[in-house]
Amino acid sequence: MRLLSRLSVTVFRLAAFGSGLLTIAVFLMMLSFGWPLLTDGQFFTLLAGEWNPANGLFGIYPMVVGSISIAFLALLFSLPVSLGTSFVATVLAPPPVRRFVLGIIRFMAGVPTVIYGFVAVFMLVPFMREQITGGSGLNILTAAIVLAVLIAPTMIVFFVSGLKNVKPEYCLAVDALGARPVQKLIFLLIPQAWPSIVSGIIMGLGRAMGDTLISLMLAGNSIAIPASVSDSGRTLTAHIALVIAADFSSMEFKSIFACGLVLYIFTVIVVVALRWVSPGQDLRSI
Amino acid sequence: MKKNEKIRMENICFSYKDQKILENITVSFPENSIVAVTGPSGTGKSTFLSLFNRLWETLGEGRLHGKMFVRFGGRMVDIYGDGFSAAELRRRVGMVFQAPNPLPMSIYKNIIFPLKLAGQRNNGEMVEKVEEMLMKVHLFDEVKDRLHSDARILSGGQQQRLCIARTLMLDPEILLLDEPTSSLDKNGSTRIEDLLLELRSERTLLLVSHYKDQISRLADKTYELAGKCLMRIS
Amino acid sequence: MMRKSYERFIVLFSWGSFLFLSAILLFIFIYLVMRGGGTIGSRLVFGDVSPLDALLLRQRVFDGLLPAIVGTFVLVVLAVGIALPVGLAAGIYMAEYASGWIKKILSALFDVLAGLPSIVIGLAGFSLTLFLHKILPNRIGPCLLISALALSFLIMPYVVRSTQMALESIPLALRHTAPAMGATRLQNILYVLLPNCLPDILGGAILAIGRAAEDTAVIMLTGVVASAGLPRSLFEQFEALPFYIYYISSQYANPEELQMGFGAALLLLVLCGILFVFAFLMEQLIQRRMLR
Repeated sequence: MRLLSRLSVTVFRLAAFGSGLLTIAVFLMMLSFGWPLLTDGQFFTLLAGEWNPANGLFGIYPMVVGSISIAFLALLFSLPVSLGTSFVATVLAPPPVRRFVLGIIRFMAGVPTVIYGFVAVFMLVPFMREQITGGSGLNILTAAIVLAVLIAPTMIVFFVSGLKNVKPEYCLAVDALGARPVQKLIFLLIPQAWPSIVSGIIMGLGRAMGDTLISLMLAGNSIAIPASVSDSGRTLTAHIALVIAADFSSMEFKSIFACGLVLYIFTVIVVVALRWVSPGQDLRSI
Repeated sequence: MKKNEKIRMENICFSYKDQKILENITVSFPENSIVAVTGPSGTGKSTFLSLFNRLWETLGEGRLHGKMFVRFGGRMVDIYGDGFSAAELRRRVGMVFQAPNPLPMSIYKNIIFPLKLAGQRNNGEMVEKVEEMLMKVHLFDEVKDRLHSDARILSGGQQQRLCIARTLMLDPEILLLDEPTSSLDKNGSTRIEDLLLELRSERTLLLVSHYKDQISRLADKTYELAGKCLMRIS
Repeated sequence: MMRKSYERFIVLFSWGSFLFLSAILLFIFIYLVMRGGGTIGSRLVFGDVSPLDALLLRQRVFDGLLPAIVGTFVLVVLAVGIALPVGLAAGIYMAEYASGWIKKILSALFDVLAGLPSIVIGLAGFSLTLFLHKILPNRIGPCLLISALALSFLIMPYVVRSTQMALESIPLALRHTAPAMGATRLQNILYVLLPNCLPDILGGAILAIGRAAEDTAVIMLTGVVASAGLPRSLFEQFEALPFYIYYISSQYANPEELQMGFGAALLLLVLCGILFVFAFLMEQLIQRRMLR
């Protein structure tokens, strides 16, 4: 029995440490495979450098710009809609309807990314091409719109959990003083739920930066630095997916590990930011 | 209609989560008086109070039949009728809860909170009003140096007086008090009781309490809520 | 009144936002049913081959979704089969044994793992093949096994976290019951604590299945291809439903293929819907248990 106990602890510990160490191993792997490129120049010149394989330049600056602009644009579109929906789900709708609203949002979170992308390719892209941006219809704006829909459920779930967790005594006090629903939101719930709201925004940004498929399918993937939202752009994630399909040993190939590193570091920043904003919050409440 | 009638309930039936709490109650309460409601625990005294400011509606799952009138400005108004919102009603019918519930902000901000809800801007007049209210509940001397510190640092009795001051900011004609002293010590209770007697001269107070001596000291009329009925006992 | 009008704006805007999102969801569903609904049938799955022949492997299916469906199914079973025991063990360790700075570091690492973009996990899986290529004599390329490993790594944090949270939220009274009767720590975990949080663990597993079934970025880098037939070995490339849908959206050769793409998208949406219903029921179970 003692032996069994000891053995079980070892197994449990091995599983936890093993998967924890694998997380570090992923970082080291990126680092070692991208090393030739990193020793060639500094990491930061790589970040800010231009992409011109013919001249031996493998800067990933255009992809960094692509990722950031698509992610922030998506956040900009998604934030008001997500906030509004979370208000409906917590305060504005009558209680039985709130559950229904949340159900729909949870279902949206479960719809596969590829389906959003697929439908957008055949519906949104022609619409953008003919009505809004012209060109091929594959551009930063198109990708950002779809990405906004994709990240909305993530943010809404965070917002709702924050708004719902405000202490009931406070709600009772404010109700008894005659606050209208919107006043309750503005004067009590939003200030109280602020950490969750910021967490939701950070989480939404993280998902937007990390998404591959939407930008790959809809952003056009041109490698030039985009000048406007109606230009085609390429994200770090899409760059990895596109180059890996090409050849194996070139320097161009090494650049995808630099992209991986940037994304990894970005993830670490997101996690640190979340822990700083609201310690103890569960990062995977969906 | 009696001349000094303030509240009238007509054939009120109320059930909460499929459990009947009140059955066919018709009663009226006079103005400028303290009406005490007592009774065994679990009979729904708190729920009874929440009928008067419609607070039960925020908890859902309650069903109300019958009519309920309050006299506002010389006219009996159906508080569940059309054209009268719950928020408006709650500004004129204040409530003090069993446990003090200061909001997580400073003492000053707690007190002006109702004015913010009413859409008033923060200005010099407000400071005066805050001081006036704090004096009214005899809290001013104790907190005048720390108006801008968090309200939750106060003692239970001080918090409860703060909550009363906050409720008084909107000058409600009716005050609902749900065992306001049950979480306080002797000294704190006495101060609240004195305060309630002072407030009686210009307001109708509905007090839920299970302390016999408190009721005998304060109440003008006493009712017992038991077996879904409300009975006059003194 | 000024204040009233901005309040009204917020109310209207909020309802508008919700209706907008639901309209998108409804639109996607109706659109897929309209374009792909007609294709649903045995032809969509089995192509020109009779279902019996296809299932008995007597004939290869070339123009049906069977290889992709089976590929996704095998992939999910493998990935969850790896992630579930490992994640469960890690979750138990985190909740019952780890403490102090070890727990802090491990949970930070799991947070990072949960947040890593799936393409980065895919890239790690791909790097693994490069690495194995260096140390092993015979070549291991991107294949079903590598995909399943990478995918299990992607979904493991869900299992770890749901196990850990469920165990940590068990009330002290229940936690002390078995030890008071002389149970060892392991017995307490196996006989009382784990059975008590079975619905939570199943909920986490369903979430993990959903993530594994819909992921495209990981498998794209680790061995999925557009046409490979039914998976025959762990060391070969394979097909998968979400990748097929992605592939069709850009590479379809004729209207029939596009039709099949719509059919496949509808199929995937319905499958995810079924998973959602399961997750929902599981949650109801958890809530009812908490009310008891």
